[in-house]
Amino acid sequence: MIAIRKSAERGFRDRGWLRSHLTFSFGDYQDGIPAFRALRVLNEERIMPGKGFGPHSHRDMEILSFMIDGHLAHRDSLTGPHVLGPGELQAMTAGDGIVHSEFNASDTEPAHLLQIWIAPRSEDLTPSYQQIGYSPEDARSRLHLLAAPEAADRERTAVINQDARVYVADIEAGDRLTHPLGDGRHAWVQVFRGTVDVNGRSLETGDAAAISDEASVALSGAGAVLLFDLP
Amino acid sequence: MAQPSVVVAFTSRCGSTETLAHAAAVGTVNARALPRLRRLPDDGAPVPPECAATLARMQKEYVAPTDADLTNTPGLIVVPSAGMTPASEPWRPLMQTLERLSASGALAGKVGAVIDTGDPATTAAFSSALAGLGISLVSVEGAARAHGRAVGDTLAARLAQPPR
Repeated sequence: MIAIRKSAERGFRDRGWLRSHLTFSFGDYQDGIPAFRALRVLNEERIMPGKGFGPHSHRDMEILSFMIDGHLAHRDSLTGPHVLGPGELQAMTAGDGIVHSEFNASDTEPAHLLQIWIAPRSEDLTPSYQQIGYSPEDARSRLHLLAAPEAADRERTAVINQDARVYVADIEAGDRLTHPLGDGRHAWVQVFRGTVDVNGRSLETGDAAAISDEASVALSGAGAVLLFDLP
Repeated sequence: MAQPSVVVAFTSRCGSTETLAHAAAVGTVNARALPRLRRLPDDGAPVPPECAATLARMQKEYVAPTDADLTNTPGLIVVPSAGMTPASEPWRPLMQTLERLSASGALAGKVGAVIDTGDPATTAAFSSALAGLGISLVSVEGAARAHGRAVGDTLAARLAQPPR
């Protein structure tokens, strides 16, 4: 079973300094679908130059920031400052409490990112911060693992507190990538560039597919996706 | 269950008091409260050159507390820089607002804390001022985070009590 979430069906909020496309219900946008499995938030954000989110708190959530374009300056009550750029992923365990801020690090260019919240396996975890990077070659014509509940190389894969895996793929014309789904597993595919066929359904930039009760996910076309393998 | 909010008001020019304010805020989150970090406006005093970048960042990242912040939140944590008093310029407008709210009864039932930033006289002066305005100060051993947690726990316990 595959359900398509078209880009234009997402919620949209324009606060001037921030333009957000909201895949799921979030904040004052409560018209969307509430979540997909452990995936609770998937916001595509464009933060105007020099602007951002002042210090605020989170609790009991795995928060991932995936940069598409531009740079994000991050500070939190654990570490910092950090600057996140394209080809990098930030993974923050809010655990029993964290305070952080996020600002566009540039005074001239917008920052374009996906902000992702995944429900953790339990509450009151110890907060933590990770930042990993990958090269264009890592994701070219393959699914590259960005985050997982365990990692052999923690500089390349962020460890998250949920039985979920996050992959990135840069799909070129002629590619056909297949991701097997285990029993009881589900997938969310978010296209963030180009046109990608997902199990035979054509998706454009900003579109997504929720996949359940399928043996695998097949990707082809020309574009880039995040794939979430979820319990 | 409703999530109580707590204003964490602080002064900081070089970031060390900001760090304590964050710790107090994390303590409130530990207690499942919602902190609202508010930095008071600067008093125009000279800034050490090594603090210029940090000050510019904080001026961008924070907003000052509003009357609505102080009226609508049941918790208030103040984090004054060492050496300041409630009459010091950055704090005077806030204290005047609190005095006005106290006179109208709007501070009744508020829970608060004063974070020690290294000067016992500063902590004592602010504690006396807040208590005099009718804010119930938590009494707890420990640092900023413990105080934040105590404020949050106290508010959560009140919310958990059945209405009379």
